[in-house]
Amino acid sequence: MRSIILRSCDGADHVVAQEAACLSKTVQSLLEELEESTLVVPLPNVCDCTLRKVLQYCTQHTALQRRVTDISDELRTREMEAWDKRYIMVSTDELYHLVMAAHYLNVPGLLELCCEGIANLIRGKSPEHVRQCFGLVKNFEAPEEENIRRTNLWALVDEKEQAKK
Amino acid sequence: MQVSGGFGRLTGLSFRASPQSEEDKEHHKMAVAWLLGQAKELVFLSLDLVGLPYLPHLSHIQHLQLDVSGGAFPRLAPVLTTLVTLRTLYLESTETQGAQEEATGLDLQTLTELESVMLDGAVPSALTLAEGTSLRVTVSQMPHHTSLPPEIWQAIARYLSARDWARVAGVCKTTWQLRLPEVRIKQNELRQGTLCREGAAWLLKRAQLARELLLDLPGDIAELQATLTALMQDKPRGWNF
Repeated sequence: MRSIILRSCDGADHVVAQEAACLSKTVQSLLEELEESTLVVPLPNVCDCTLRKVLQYCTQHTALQRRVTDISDELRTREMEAWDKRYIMVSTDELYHLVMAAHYLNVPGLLELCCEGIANLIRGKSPEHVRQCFGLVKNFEAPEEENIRRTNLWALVDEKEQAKK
Repeated sequence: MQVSGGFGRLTGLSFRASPQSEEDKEHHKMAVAWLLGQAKELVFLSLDLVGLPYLPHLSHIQHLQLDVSGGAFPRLAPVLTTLVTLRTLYLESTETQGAQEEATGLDLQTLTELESVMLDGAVPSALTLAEGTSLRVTVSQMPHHTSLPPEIWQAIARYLSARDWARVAGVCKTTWQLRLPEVRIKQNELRQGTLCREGAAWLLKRAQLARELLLDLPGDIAELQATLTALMQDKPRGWNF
């Protein structure tokens, strides 16, 4: 099986099976565009640490997909889900970088997994908490913010309180 | 302050202050500015001073440690490029809003002697270094992120209830202006009170931008019309019943 090298923005090389690397549609299309003899694919938007984590996902999912014959579809899905659940237990900062990398590298399964992970983190939280959680900057003008606060007031009221009314 | 001979021969300066009032803070800034104007031979400078008004051209400076909180970063960034003797640079920012750093690039191409750069909480939009410089760059405490791209927020929104999404919409401009690809309003949510009328109206406003609108409102036509009419009391522009 052919191996290729993925080079992170900070110059770290990762040797990976082409099959696993091609779970990333970005890498796949880069490989198609580059000459056939090319072994090194530069990824200027992903750092070493995040790339390592992305490749862990790609390698694991490729390995599980390949086990077509020895386990049933249901068992394979269950195994993948259990692995995914453990895999996505990362800090919010890591999750932020992972979702950005999954988006840039276009790994649909990983992107969905990260989005679900983020949704689980922000469910039930206030806008301020979400900002703090991901280090996002509030960039509204004062009148705009007041308008948003008024429009979204219903969402800030406790759900159970609302149901009682 | 009167000093015989002045500070012209000073080669090292470390200034730490804990001002008790705004007045104190201003006095500290003035004192440091005056001192820096005098000390032309400085090789080492470490300032723990928020809102440094300016930095003079220090022609001998080799080691510089600055706090760039309080909006000082955009003011000081251009001056840093003129300090061609600089060997180590440490910039710290303790601000909660990182917008100024994010909008300011740090072009250090002229600093060919530079050996180490450490950015602690001060995150420029870009960092350019002299070609061939052997450099160790450490960026730590990077608490501020640019918002996620709209496509990612759209994918996240699919996992959230209307109420949760409305909360997230108030996070930043990207989330507020987001086009939701799909809006669902279910009759049982309205009946059970998990989605209030204001919430449904909020969603219907978003539905103007949606590619898909799923209304699960069973019952006869009259009931459906009554529900929608009630929801549309706060009718978005361009909607007619």
